[in-house]
Amino acid sequence: MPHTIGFVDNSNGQLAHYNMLQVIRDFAAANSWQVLRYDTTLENRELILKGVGYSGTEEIFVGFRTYHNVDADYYNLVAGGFTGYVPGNDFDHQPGAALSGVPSHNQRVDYWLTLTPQRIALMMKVGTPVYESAYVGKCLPYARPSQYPYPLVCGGMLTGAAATRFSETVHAGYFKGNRANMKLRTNDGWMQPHCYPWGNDLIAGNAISSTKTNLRDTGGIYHLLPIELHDNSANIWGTLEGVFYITGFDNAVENTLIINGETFVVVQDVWRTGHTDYYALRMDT
Amino acid sequence: MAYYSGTANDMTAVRSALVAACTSEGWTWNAGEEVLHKDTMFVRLQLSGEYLRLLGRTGLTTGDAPHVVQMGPFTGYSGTPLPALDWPVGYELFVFEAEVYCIINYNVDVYQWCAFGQSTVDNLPGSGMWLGASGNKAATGYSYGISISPAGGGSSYSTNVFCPALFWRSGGGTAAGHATESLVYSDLDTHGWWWGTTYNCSNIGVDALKPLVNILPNDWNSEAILLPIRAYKARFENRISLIADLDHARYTRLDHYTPGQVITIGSDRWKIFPWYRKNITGRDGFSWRGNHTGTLGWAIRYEGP
Repeated sequence: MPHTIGFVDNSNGQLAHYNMLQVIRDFAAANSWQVLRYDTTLENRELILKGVGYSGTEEIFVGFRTYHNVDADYYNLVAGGFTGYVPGNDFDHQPGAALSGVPSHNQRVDYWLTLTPQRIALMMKVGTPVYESAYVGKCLPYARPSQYPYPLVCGGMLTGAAATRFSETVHAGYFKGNRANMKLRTNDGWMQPHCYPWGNDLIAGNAISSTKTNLRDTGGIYHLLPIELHDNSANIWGTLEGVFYITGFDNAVENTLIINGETFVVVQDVWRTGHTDYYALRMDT
Repeated sequence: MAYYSGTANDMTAVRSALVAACTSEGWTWNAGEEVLHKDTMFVRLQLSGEYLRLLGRTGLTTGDAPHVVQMGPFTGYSGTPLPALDWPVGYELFVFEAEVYCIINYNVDVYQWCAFGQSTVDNLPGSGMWLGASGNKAATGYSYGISISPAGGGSSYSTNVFCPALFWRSGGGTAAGHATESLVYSDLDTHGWWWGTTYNCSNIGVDALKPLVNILPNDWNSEAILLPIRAYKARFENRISLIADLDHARYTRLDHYTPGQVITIGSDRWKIFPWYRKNITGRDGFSWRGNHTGTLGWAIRYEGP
């Protein structure tokens, strides 16, 4: 499964975030995701997709829709994860809907969009710029399919479709975990996972003491750590696919690295450039 | 690569079996120096009474690690003594291209181990040789017993404890007083075998995996997954760097595994061992004066019958 890197703007007579939705739709449809809905007649346009997973027989329901407010000057996407699809229901009322806003723009947006048969991951460079991320689809579960058939993740930047512009400075990425914009579907329903190594004071601490350190490179090599989804008390469920912790030590957003022939792009958390504010996004092939 | 097993009547026989297995898999034994070596990996295997002491080196006779690690007849704390090392013992050897694991089992449920190999982490200035064993330094009894917990091990109360788990200890440092059970020749910051920025700097240990070890086994499916065994070195300005990431061993919890059990995950098989002795009621081990390791344990890739 491939990736695509490019930009959208409002040059073709529609707002950039509409064009971003169009890119997701076209790219997913061209790569084995079934388009269940793409409704551009609505002010808040809707895209609902179905993936078949690595088995080729699964039903993975995800989607994106737009929302904006011209007077408030925000133009966003919403990432959605669902447990089914009902044609008569709107986006937000699909079965088991989990939603998380992703600030976008009505002007130029650079994007890195990458997908596998079971998940879609997106990074957008917006405005000043800041970097906004989303992940919808399955994680890689530590369980057999018969034990845990639907390990769906819905990760974005905001709690639901919040009225928040990209310039707002509080919102933060799903990948850090333990926040409302990161949801994991367990067998018991949606929960808010922690994301190791965030939360570990030695790998992702604030470097103020010998017990609060953070990771740096090893001889110039940047080793990626899987992001493990857990509840911090009694359960570990799995790991994000193609999304890895990377140190920000002597590193910068949009850097690329190649490991075993795979290319990764370094992504920062909105405006943050601390040593623990980055992840590496695999450009799927 | 290869799996060997058998019984041994003394530590000499354990060493002989280990050397024989390794030399069958590409290692060279220098009997005069008592050094087993392959490429840039050098480990001296020295017998001292009933103890087998391993000393990491960077050459046949050079670059000694700060101290040895060992297997042997540890006695532990008088109030909670360790089971005597009764011979013969069963041994199991897991020999891979650049990782070697040796397990001995006696008194039904007691295990000791030693292991060595080469780090797979790229760009270490040092050889990446790593080694470990149940016991740290050349002690003969560890009068304050075992110190281990899901968050680390090594006691601030006493230097005369051991934390019988690979890359696990979080208390103590490289120096002999608080010697560790595991060492890596990373040579980052030209620090050789040191774990930290000073000779006696505390270890990172299993703390870097927190809270994952503590979580297992899962409530939701009662299973303990296998967690990576990684080692980190403390650097200047409160940074750490990855210096080892083992290919053929993993941490796990034994609440729902039997010592010696083989589990299958996909096409891989793993053999489960406690770090010393399983105890389900004291599953998190001891801060000191311990005589078991709770349900803390590990899995080694198994290619046996």
